[in-house]
Amino acid sequence: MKKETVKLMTAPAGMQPGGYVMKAYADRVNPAIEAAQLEVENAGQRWRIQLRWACDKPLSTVQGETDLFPDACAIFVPTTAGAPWITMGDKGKAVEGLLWRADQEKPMGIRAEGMGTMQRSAAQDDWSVKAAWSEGYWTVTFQANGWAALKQHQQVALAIWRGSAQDRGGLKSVSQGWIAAV
Amino acid sequence: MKYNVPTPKRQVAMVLDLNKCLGCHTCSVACKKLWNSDDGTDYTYWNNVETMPGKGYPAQWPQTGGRTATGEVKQGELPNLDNAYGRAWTFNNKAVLATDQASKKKEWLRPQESPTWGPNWDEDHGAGQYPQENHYFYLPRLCNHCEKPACLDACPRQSIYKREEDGIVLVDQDKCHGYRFCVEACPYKKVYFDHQRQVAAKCIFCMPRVEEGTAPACARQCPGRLRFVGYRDDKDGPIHKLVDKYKVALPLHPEYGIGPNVFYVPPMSPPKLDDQGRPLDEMRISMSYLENMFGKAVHGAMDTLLAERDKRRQEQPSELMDLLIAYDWNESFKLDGKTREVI
Amino acid sequence: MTQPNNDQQMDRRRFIKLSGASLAVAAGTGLPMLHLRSAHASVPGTGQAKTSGKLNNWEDLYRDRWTWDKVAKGSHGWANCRSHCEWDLFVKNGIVVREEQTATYEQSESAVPDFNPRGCQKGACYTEVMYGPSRVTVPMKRVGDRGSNKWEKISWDDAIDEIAHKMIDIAKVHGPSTIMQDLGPNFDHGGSTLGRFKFLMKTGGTFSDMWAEIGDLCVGTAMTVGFAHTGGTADEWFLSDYIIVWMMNPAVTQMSDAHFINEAKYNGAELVVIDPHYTATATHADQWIPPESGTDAALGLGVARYIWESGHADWDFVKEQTDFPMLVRTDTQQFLRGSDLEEGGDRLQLYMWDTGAQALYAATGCEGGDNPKLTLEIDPAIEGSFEVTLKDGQSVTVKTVGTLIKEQLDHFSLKETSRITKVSEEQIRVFADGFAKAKRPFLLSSWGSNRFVHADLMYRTRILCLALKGAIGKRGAGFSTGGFFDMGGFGSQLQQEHEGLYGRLAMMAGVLDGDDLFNLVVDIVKQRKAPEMYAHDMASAGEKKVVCRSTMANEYYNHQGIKETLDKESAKIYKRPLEDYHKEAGEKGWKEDMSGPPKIFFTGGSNLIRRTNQTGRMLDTFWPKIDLAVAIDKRMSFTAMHCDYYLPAAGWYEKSGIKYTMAYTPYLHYCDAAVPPLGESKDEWEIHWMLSKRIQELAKEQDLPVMDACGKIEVDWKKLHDQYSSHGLFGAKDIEKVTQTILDDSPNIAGVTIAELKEKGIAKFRSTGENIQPTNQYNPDWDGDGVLTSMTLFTKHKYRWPTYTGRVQFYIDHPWFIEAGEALPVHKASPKAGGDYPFQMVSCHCRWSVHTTWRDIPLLLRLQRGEPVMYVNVDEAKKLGIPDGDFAELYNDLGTVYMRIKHTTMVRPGVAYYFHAWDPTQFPNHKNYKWLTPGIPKALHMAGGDGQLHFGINHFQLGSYVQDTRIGIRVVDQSVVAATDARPDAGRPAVGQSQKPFMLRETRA
Repeated sequence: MKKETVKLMTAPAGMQPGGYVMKAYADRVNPAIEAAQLEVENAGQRWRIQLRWACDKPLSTVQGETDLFPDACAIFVPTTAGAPWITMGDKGKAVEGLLWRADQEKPMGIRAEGMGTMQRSAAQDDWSVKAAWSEGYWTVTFQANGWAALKQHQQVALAIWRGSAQDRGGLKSVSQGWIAAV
Repeated sequence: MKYNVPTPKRQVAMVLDLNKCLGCHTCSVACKKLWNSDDGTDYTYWNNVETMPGKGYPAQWPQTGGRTATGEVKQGELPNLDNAYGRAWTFNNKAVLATDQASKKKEWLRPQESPTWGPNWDEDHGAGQYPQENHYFYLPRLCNHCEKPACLDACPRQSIYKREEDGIVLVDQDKCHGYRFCVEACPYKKVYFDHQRQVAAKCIFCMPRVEEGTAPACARQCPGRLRFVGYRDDKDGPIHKLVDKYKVALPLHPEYGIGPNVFYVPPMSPPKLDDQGRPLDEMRISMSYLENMFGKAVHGAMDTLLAERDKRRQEQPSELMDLLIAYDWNESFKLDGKTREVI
Repeated sequence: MTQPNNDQQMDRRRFIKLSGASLAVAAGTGLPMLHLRSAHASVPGTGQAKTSGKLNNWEDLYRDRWTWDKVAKGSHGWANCRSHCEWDLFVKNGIVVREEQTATYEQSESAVPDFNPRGCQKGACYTEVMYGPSRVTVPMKRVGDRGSNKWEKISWDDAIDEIAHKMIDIAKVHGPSTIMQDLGPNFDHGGSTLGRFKFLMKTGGTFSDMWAEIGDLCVGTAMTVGFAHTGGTADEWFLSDYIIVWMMNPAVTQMSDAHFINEAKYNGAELVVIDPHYTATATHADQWIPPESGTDAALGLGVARYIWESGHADWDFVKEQTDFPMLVRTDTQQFLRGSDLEEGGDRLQLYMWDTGAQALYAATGCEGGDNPKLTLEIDPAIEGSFEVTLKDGQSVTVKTVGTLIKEQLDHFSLKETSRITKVSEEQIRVFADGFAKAKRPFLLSSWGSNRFVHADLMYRTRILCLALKGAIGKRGAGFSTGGFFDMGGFGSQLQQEHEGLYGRLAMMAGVLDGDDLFNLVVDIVKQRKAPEMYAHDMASAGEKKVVCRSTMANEYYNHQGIKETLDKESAKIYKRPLEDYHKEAGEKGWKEDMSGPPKIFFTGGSNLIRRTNQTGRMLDTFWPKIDLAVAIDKRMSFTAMHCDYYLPAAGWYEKSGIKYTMAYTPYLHYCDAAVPPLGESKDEWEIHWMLSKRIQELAKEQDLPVMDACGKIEVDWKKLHDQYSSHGLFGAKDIEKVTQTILDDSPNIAGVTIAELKEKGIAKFRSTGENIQPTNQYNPDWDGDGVLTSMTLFTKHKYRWPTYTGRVQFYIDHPWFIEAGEALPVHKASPKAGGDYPFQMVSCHCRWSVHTTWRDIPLLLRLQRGEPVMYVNVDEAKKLGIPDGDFAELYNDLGTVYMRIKHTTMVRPGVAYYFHAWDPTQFPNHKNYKWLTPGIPKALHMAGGDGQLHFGINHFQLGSYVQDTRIGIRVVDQSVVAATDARPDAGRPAVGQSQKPFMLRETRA
């Protein structure tokens, strides 16, 4: 089992596509979440990936509101060697992963080939996520059966969105690079 | 603009003559009935009418938009339901209709949310001391379908596009992930968030109607007859004449620098009174207020309006006045039908 | 772009379908709403279906919303608004999902803009009312106490049977004329209203007019020009060069016509708005003149004096068309009459002074004269004082009305006018000077302008200003009180029992006795009247002879337990008690009362208990006198809540109808049934058909004798259904056929078929009417083409006006008027009704509803504040210490109610201003401001006798007036108001997580 405290950085606004976010959020230099505990457990085909981070103001209900964003996190892996992590992959060099949102029961599958290209889809049926907030911490545990890309590349990166800081899209705290999964 | 927005082949546009607005909100209701009756858009008015001076809808939109007074991008705000838009209140009709009139305590019909703000909360409030300077006017608003849309430039996913055939700005809701940077960035606050479907939603300039040559519902259903619809490049059409030829129709907050395609004929108003109640040679809505809203060009526009109106007072012809009168209402709308291939 | 799979397509379809239906489903109230159980299949009708292709992407989702199965033409038939607008009704999956104006009107002439598109925000969402929260679509019977709102569903047959039994039992004891139907104000000109009225008429029930009760009847106009309702098409406003909007707010109350005013400005007209409040209309004015509330007559007199002295008065018009030259005795203050001058002289012959011959001249055109023409053969004196020898040799001084008016106007210098009105001399001068120099001044005053107790005086002064300018009955100039296109077929079908005899002839044959017929023949032979007047007079005579009638204000006085209050209030106006006037009017036959308190009450569409003044007395005194109260309505109104039976009426998109036919547009507006009646509801034609049938069956079984109704007519309920159905000519489901017959029998629209109307929605009138309604028939020059200018019969064709002077009449020598000092238009201060309190409580018709219809639908409430508000000037509210939106206590001698205060800069200090028709159920304790309004009647409106001064439905009658009401406003502890609530905190969802400031910047990282 892999267990590590991952130091997070803010995803640089300056890299965001379009003219607005890069300027409007240029002052975002400190990550909303500074660090997360990562646990990766591999039992045959079955992967258990757990993230745990400090969050004093959890936000999990956004239903019926216009200005709220849920806490969320994603774990993603390269599908080809050399897929860049900071830009969520690149053309022909996709990354894929699992996304958890505090307002949803099921994880979503994600896939991207660069900034602003992320596609969401239903995750595989037997993939699941469990999340709990307790005493100032979120603990989110993904269960993924037969994740080929992870098995192949043995690398993960992670992103955490803090709802109370209006994190969403490219406004997020991310690992500072690929992390060895084992 | 960071994204390159190709210039559309044609640009559809609208002129609203504020001297004809009744404040009746038929536009808002027409729009809402057609497009926004779902739970997730219950609070939205792609078209709304606000009493100015006033906070507007959403509250304080000019202060919270994504542009500075010199057109620079600044961080915008996300309006919330209770204090900015006004929630789509629910009502206790059922309990009220079942109330025994003999009972000592009765529920009365009211919003269950105990609201303190709504989309038309400061209706007819206005500003100024009665009777010397008190005033207000109605400002109907919709998406400006800008040349350089701030919303379009705000979307990291490039979900917003400007149609090639008519310049209508649309959110691709299949692509949108609901990040709402567009909501923040639009200085007019005319992109909304469908809180059920979790996607951005905005005025589509009644795209399905325009495709068939029918004017948008807000324009066609306006009993005040204050709206003109057509293409910017149609030299014989009402838009070109009002915007470019006579220059009496002006964009709202041109200083944002994003090129609205919705224009307003600025409002005249009755004269102020002095402290003895005598009429002054000055309109109630101050020109400085209008300049703040429509830019310096408002002075020329107002002069033209008054001069052309004087011509009619002298029983001389005026093409501009005839146009604004809209003798034949159908002439207010000049659209080409069938711009879309139907599969 | 990825192609959606089939499941996604399905989801989208479902989503769209639900969104269409959600407005209906969300509206569930728990009351039986069986119409929601199943969607009706499309019914055959007009309009092409529009369908969308595949739903390939998000754009197609939206394209699919603008599709429909069917389009029907419709309007808001029974809506009591002054407009009429044609709509396309879009039907999808059996539900009317939205409406949009048809907008196919044509320009009347190239000089004026067209009428398109008409409509308003309410018409654009009647569907929200139709499927709305107070719609009830099954018959119900009360099972608890009245007002307990405990109901059980009942079958139609049982409901009809029980009501028929009870009606017979009650009529046997109290007589049929104790059946009271609140005559309006919700009605149309099609088969549904015809059924309702015909049933009432044939049962011998009482038509109790409410036009003056609600303060909408233009009584001052009736006094001055002889009829209450006049006016041409709204596009005529455009032709004016000086539009004076005086006591009207068309931007709010007549949205579909208001554009003509703003467009007239672009055509060079000056727009003057006279209103204490900076109204939506005033925002576009060139001059906004804010007088002290209730001082309009003073302003009018000041302006009249200015015009008189300006050198711009039209004296030729004044001489010919007004009573200025008529002579008045200075000893009696009465007109000099033929009966004063010689034995056997005609008391209706009045006189002028011939300046050429320096002698009396028997005026043509007056009621007693033989010559109906006004054309002058002499030059009469407008001013002057003359000595005349009476039949007894006595010499008296007579003065012209002109002189008397001049003497009156002498009091109204600019300075004095300014002192009373609080408008600066300079502002009055600018206004009056513009008025004097205008070529075509046009006055717009609404029905709501009649709501002061002295509103008649205000109207008389306004017409005085116009008359001085000769600006009446002249293209582009004049005034409009709201004329009608006369649906003659409606009136005659009301009485028809047989096929074949139609129109005016049928009316006359039905109502005239030998004397009337003789007089008619004499009038015709001697050409004493304009042809149109025969019909007018015969209609009045007919109404008098065959209709049991009264007015609501009269019945309130008799039965509401408010005599004491009203006597006290009236003492502020007149020296004699109100009761004296009632007594004299009764004795002299100037008014008609019901034979006793109402015993059977039908309500439908209108909302009596909501609108009554002193509502508390209505509920505790008037209402319990009623033995059977039946609501035939489409929604559970406040009045329906207090009834014994509720019979569900079909809504306006569910039955054939004709929107009432005001003259503002020259088109008839048809209402088609876009869908069948919802749930178990039925149109009113069928409901009354069933009821009359059952009554007839029971009457025959019981051998019910012929009954006397109000001493005028005898009714035989054993024949009731035969009469109602015209002996079987019209069946239960024949509403369309009835409507067609109304069209066929209306000469100005005859030939138009319902089939055509289903296609086009509108049809143009060919004349304003040539029939029986005492409304607007005086426009002989209009044949369907061009702008309609009203009243040219008098001004152009020189026929006498229907006043007893035969002229536009400013002097009324009725003893009551002389005694009250109101023989001439004067200014009288608004009495402090309800007590001496600092705020005058003034109302305006509402932007957001037509009375209580549309008042309770969430879609529109969300565009207001969701609750009733009283507008108070922001500075005054702050002085009172009442924050914007807080409840305050409103109080006067009559009681206390709670209402939220809205700050505004538009309202004049000293006024509490509300947009009316909030339902009592929208207030704490279900008590609205009507609990505080005494509703002072004006006794003089019961005057009878000569000419225009006679009681008539829609004409001249006792009313009740609310704008004089005074109230105090004080802070109330908000928790005290909350404590009146049955469940102050229960049932409300938590106020989101966003009870937080809009500015979120600081929360960001």
